[in-house]
Amino acid sequence: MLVAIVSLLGAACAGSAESTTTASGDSGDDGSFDAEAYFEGKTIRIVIMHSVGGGTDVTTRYLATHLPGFLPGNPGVAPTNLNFTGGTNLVYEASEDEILIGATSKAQNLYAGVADEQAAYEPLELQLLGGLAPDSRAIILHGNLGVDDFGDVAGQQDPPLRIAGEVAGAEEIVDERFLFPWLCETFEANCEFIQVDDDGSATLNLMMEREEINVTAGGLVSRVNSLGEALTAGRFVLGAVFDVQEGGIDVELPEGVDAPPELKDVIPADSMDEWEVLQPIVGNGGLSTTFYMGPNVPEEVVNVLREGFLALMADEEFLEAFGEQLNTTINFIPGPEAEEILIESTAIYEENLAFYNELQTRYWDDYWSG
Amino acid sequence: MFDAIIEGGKHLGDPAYWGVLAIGLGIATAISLVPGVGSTLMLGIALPLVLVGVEEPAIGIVLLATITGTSNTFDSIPAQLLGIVGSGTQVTFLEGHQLTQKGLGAYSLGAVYAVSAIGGIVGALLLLLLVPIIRPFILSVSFGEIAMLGFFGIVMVSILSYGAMIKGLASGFLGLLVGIVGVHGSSGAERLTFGVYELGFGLPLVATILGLMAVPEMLDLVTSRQPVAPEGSDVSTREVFRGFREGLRRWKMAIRQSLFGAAFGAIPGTGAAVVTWLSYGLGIALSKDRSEFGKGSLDGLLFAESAENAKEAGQALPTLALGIPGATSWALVLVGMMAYGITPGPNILTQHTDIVGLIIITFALANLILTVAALSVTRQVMRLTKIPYPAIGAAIIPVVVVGAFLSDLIFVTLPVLALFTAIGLIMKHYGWPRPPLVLALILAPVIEGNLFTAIAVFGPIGVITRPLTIALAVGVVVSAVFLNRKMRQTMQSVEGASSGQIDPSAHGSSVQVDGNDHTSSVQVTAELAKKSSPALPISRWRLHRPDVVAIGFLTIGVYALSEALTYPGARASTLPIVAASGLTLFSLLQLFMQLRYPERKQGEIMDIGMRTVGTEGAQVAMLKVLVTLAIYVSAIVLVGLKYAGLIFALVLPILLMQGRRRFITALVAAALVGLFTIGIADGLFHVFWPSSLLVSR
Repeated sequence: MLVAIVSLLGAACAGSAESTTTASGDSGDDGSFDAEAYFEGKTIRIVIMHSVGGGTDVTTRYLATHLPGFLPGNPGVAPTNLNFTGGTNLVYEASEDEILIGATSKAQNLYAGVADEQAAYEPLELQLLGGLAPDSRAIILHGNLGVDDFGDVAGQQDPPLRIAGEVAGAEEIVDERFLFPWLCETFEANCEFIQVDDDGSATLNLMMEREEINVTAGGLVSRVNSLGEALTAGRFVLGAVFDVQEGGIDVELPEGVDAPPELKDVIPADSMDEWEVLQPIVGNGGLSTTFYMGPNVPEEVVNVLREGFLALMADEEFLEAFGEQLNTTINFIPGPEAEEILIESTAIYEENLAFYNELQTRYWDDYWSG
Repeated sequence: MFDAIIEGGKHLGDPAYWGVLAIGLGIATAISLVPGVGSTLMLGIALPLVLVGVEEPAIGIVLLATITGTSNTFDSIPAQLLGIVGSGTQVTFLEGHQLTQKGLGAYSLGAVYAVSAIGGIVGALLLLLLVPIIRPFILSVSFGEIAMLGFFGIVMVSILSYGAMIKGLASGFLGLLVGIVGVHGSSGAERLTFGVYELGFGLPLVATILGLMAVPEMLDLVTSRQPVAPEGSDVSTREVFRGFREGLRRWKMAIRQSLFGAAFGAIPGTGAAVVTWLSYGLGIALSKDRSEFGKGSLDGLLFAESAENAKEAGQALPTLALGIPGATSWALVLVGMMAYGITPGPNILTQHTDIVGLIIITFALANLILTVAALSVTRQVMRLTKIPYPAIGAAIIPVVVVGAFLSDLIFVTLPVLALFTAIGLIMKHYGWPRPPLVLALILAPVIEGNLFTAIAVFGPIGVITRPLTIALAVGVVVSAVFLNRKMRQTMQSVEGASSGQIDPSAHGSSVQVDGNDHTSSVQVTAELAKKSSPALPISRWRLHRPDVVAIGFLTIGVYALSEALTYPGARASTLPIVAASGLTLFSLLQLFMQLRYPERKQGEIMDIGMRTVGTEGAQVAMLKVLVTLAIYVSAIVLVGLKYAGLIFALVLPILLMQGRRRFITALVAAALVGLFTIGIADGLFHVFWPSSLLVSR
């Protein structure tokens, strides 16, 4: 039985043999780092910090199938999935011999480690290989609210805005689960918050279809891709976008669907300062799918991998195919720039942590705990 | 509608389609046979490769749909023949494995192939008919209705408890407690995690079920040193075809159960385990003779197997018609569809007729191909049941342990597997039925999550005034009363006929015996209910070994209750309080019954008993098995999980078998384990193995 299975799947095992050479041991005649010799026959392991089948998983696995062609020595690449904190701890602790790359959905996950007791890593000690510029995030409204965009919900009392989320304690309130209480207060709208056991996009889409909720949020591209028919038919409305990547909204909207306003354009002027402060907790933190390595990995290895990612992301054929798959354009932020973004976001996050904690506790008590 | 078939059929002339179909079926077969490797994991790996390598959208999507849609066709083989139970094969294990032990493995597998093929084809036809009109049905089923389906499952807990009702109910309540372990999603309460971070995500389900059901069975079989099938049992192709004809003869039942499976599969959030258990329950409800269920019933096996294959087409329905995945693996098919620029939804039948048609054709075709393949290889596979189990166990047990680890990739799966193996063995030995525990642990999150979400969405009054919820609630109550009454009548008539005599040497269907002379606990319960004086000897209070189980369960119940009372809010505490109270109450009642009436007999229960109890040489064999397990655990600690299986595979046959043959067996077993752990788990999945003392990661 196992023989049959192994022969069936055996082809996929190719290239898995690992040598034990180290970066320091792969020197050329002139003492320089011989990348070809270092990577040849090795397997790069990519730890995807999210479950199989999610957006980050698919994106990373797609990238992983192309990456070896852009690296010296044509190494194997093996993605696997672990939970975020455990996986990032593993990447952080990787020895200098291990080629272990972490992949997470957004920079926010990394700097949130500052306040995570289980996190055994220092976010700013991680070596970033680069990241995708974040996908804009969208607020979706149900058509039965009868509004054109989110600005129209100011003062909305009846029907109330109904929002669902899975929140296990105050510290779990991030992203739209944080955004919506803030918006409801800022827009003085009557809101009802519904605790669900799963707030994945499939569950929330289904609840929207069943009219059990009337507001939801998520990545603009994925929502446009998955809700295209509902948007075209007018059952759902794109209410606003936020965390918009530079260059505006790059996704191709379905025919007949109007471009939504940016949230900052409909937020009351006296709330703008607070809105700016909230960015690290409601958005991606400047990077979406982000690739990183631990601090023990030799710099020359990191540099080769950075160059590999850059070369891949500069390949027109790949970019075209990748963009088609995601229905958007791809902007890759190289490692050094990504590190600067992470430093900046982490600084804002740490600076305002007390404020976030205070709001999170209040939002938990007032909205989500019930 | 039928345009779809014509349009889809045009792809049949494309050689790429047949290549893709072969690859998809090959991968699906591997998923079926290897524990811990689910279709989600394989699709996750395959998806990017498909997107890169297959240009034609219809072909690429069909490949993904084939992998997910047919990956459970063969999973009945390891469950039936080797006792390896998976998340969707608990009923198959309960009934089918006992049939194999009775010498009916080939026959029952043949019947399973027939009803599976019918289920697959019925599902495909339903898909064709319902894609355009399924939307209102799917949207009308919300959280409250799914919770009610969970309550129907709870009715099944009481049915599965017949023969030892008090123990069964205690077992069910323990299952509910096991099912709520983890950080509660909406309150943050850490429920029975004992401060273990990894348990915050819940108990690893595959490891828990393998521990409760599969590993105890394997250890028992290893200790018996016998093959699974009894001597003289017919494993010929002729016998497989005889079973196949029997399965075909029951086509009406197969269609009924398939419709049921497809309907439940279409409801997002109901997994394979729930669908098969509920289908089994429905089948029991509609049966006239209920005396054989849980003891190796072909009917029971076919109820579940018919539904399981049809369920896949059911899960495809919301994926295609609404763009809402019917299961996690279908979410990946959805990702693939969107990557190919195909938006699922009501318009898919008009905009991508060929793709829907090709998926339907492929489902039907794949089921026929797999059925033919299964019929032709079963004779060879059945030979496994003729090999002394130490040889099988030497290779399979380490594979199951690694499979359990693969399913979650966290270290805690190993201690969880060990803990539940111990619990499973104790329950198996002392006649505590495990199916109620397994079913309840699967249902706990389904009921709790959906019920409280329904209350949050609709309000308490809103939930109980939804027409479909009311209809289902009435159905639950009616079925509870009807089924329990019928089961009681059946059990009483069986006991009357057999005069309470039990033959523990019967193949695998050996009956749970508490220890000494017993009378039926059903009888006891019934007579107590009548408030008549029980015709049972009342002895002085004295502890016996079986009482320790009840005391253990009572301790767990009391501890859990004290914990549950501290959980914040009704949403986090209601189910734990109910479960812990129930466990405490019924454990106490069982303890009382055992202490007060120690001479009572226990009836046959719906579970597989220990076949080695009282057999010659069993104690020595058990000692050798324990030594091998101790070596295995030590090896895991010292050299790691990756290599420890090799040591287990080498040691077990040498200790348990006789003659020179044992050395060859040990080498073959070690080679097979090595192929799996080093070839597949390490080479293909690139597993991060747990740390060990001597070997670095």
